[in-house]
Amino acid sequence: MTLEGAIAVTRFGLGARPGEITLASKDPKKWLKDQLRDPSEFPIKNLLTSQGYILEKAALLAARKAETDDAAKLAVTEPFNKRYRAWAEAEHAERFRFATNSSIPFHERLTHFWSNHFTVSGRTRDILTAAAHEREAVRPFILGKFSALAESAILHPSMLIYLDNVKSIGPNSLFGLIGRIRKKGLNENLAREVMELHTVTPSAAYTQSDVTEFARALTGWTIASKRENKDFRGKAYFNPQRHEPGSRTVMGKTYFPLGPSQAKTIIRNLCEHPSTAQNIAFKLARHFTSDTPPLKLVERLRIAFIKSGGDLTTLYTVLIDSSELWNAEVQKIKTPYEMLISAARYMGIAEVFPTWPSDVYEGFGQTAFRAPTPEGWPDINRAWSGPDAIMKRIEWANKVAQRNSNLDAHEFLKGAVGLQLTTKTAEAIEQAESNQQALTMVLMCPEFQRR
Amino acid sequence: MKQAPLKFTRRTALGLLAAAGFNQPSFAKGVKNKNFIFVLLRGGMDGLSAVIPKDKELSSLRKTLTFERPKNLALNSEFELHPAFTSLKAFFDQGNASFIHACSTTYRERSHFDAQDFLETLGNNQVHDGWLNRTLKSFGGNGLALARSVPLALLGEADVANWSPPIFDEVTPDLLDRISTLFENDIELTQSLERARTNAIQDMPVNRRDSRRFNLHYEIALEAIGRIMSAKDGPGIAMAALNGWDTHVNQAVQLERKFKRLDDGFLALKTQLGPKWDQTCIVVCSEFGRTAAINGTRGTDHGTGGLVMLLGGAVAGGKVHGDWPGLKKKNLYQGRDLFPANDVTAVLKGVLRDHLGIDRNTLDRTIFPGSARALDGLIQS
Repeated sequence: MTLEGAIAVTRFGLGARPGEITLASKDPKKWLKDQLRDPSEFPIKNLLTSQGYILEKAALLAARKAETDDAAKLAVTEPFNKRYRAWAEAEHAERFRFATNSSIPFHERLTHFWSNHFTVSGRTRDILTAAAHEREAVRPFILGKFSALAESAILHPSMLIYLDNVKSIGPNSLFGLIGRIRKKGLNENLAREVMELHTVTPSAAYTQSDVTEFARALTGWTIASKRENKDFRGKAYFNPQRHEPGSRTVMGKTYFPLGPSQAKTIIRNLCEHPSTAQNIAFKLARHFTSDTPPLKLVERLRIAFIKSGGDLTTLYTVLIDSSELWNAEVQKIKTPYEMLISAARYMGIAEVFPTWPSDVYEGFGQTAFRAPTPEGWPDINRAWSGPDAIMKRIEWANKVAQRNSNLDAHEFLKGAVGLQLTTKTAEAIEQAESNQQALTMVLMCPEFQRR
Repeated sequence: MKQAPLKFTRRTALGLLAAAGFNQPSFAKGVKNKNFIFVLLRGGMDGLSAVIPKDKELSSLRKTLTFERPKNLALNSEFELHPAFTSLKAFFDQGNASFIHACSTTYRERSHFDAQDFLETLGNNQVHDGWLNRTLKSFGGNGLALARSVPLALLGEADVANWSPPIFDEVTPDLLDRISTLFENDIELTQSLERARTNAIQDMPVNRRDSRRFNLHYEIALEAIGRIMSAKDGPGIAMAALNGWDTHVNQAVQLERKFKRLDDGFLALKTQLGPKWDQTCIVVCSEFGRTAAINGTRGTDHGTGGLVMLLGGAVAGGKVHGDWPGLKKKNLYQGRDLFPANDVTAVLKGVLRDHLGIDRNTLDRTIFPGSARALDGLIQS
């Protein structure tokens, strides 16, 4: 076992499975780079595609519409609710299991990172399309060019719904002029978030008119209803009858009216803007080092982004080869979800959920696919290290230790923390009055709480 | 980068602002010890069941919905209060509670989540952070969310703590001591643990089953806010989000229970705040109101105009403020909802200006960009 092995597994990965630090210790950098060869495939047994979920929702609305009486409307909803609850539970369970069992945890970390960067979130039914978004629009694209990832994530049906582009209609389009749609008009939500969060950020000093122009270019990108287009029913497609005609000017560049490719070209150019390189470099560096990442690392990533034309695997390689990521001091506090996954990777899934998983997620204030805003889950320590949050972690650790008191705390410490262990922690755990208390302390030690 | 430990008080917060080169906000003088609590009732609370207009149209709209229970409590010549609100009635009579009926944001659709996001940001679609966080940023001091995670209204740059009842068993002081030792070289974790251990909430006697679902047991959530706020150096601004107001089915039965819990919570909050009650203003509102007419499952559906309640010793109470649009068919919004004659943002603006002393410029530009005029006369002068 080496220190670098432990760092590879905890800082880059998702926390050690038994024996994983030893495995990674042979050649930590190679162990990480080997994880970047192929896209990961997520099994969808028991789950639907985004199209399946969208059609299910359409069927629910149709069934309710067919009934006139309120009591009957309520009654037809029940089987839909039952299916929804089963899918929602499966989506959460499968995502957690996939991460827990992953033998390419660095790859999976990156998937979660990009899924959060291109957040789609729901509070009830929409968590299903949010889950499908990660599977269909993010997961297969994280090793390629940033612009390809961005295009797939932004123009995916789940994102078009989440950020209201399905409601956006060009005022001078056919639908805008003569269509019988009740609420006509431009909706700028998607355009604004793409510019502000996904790509250039406000540091690029774009104006309100740039947002509006981009929003006009995005009109037409929607989801087909049965009436609109049978072939694309429940899928994303471009409907020229909703699209605002004409050329658009965004951040000083003019885009000719070329239908669906007008918005695609704008997205590509936003991705290639220097401010986007800075944004992505900063966010990646912050995720893997600290809330205030080393400036040299950010700069190295920024230049690599520009030189490689936004090639993401090139950026990951820069991360692996940067000395800043290999120091022993742990800084980032794991999010609750990361903490649960890392514990499950050593202990087992059932072992880390002393009560219903949904209660545990909610108790910690982080349920996948339910991020509070399009910004996603915060990636800074203070969002997760408040007094109440730390007390909840202690109570959880105590309960988990109670239920798993046969697990050898010293083996766990060795297997999950490895040579990142500090003298302070070793001494404090040495003083524990029982194996169970020692287990609580392993789960709570800074080396395990941080990464 | 790790920071030195800080005991976070209002004074240190202002001191830090000064050290960072900011001028101390001018309103910091003279408004110390003011408390503001925002209570969000998620789901669309039926205002017409809480503060009941004496309009003759109501009985035909609501049929059996409002009339199978004890006598309503009298408020004034135009309105009555639901009989479950006995403490609230006493507050009203003492001049410690008032209402603004037919109140809404400028959001005009009927999605809970969009409406809640709108009400919690109130930023004219220009911003992601919450208006209460922007308020905290201007006002200074500590903010508290009584929630599992900080709700959108309190999300933003200003630091906000949250508290919620334990999900698992509480742990022994001995274990906490040991974990303190474990954290000794970790300033951030040490500071959090210390703050958690000194929290005034520790010995609150609550039933564990109920406390797990504290956002449906309103009395637990509101009492907890009172306890935390009344502590020395307690937060000046707090928020609770209470679920369960989407009463599509069997509304009368549901609301009787919920109103009682809310009323118990108001009383517990007042009791816990003690002398601080006099410097407190509590705003209670929901993302929208409900349909004026009863539906086919003895409930009501998502509507528009709702009810805002103001409580606390600082409130200019005993009144029903604002315009009353009436319930005649032609006066209903889209022929179905109570017309939104008053603006929630105008209410909040009036309260923040007159209670917390936040200046007009900050209110108009930073906290509620692009909003209507503040409503006057809500706070005792």
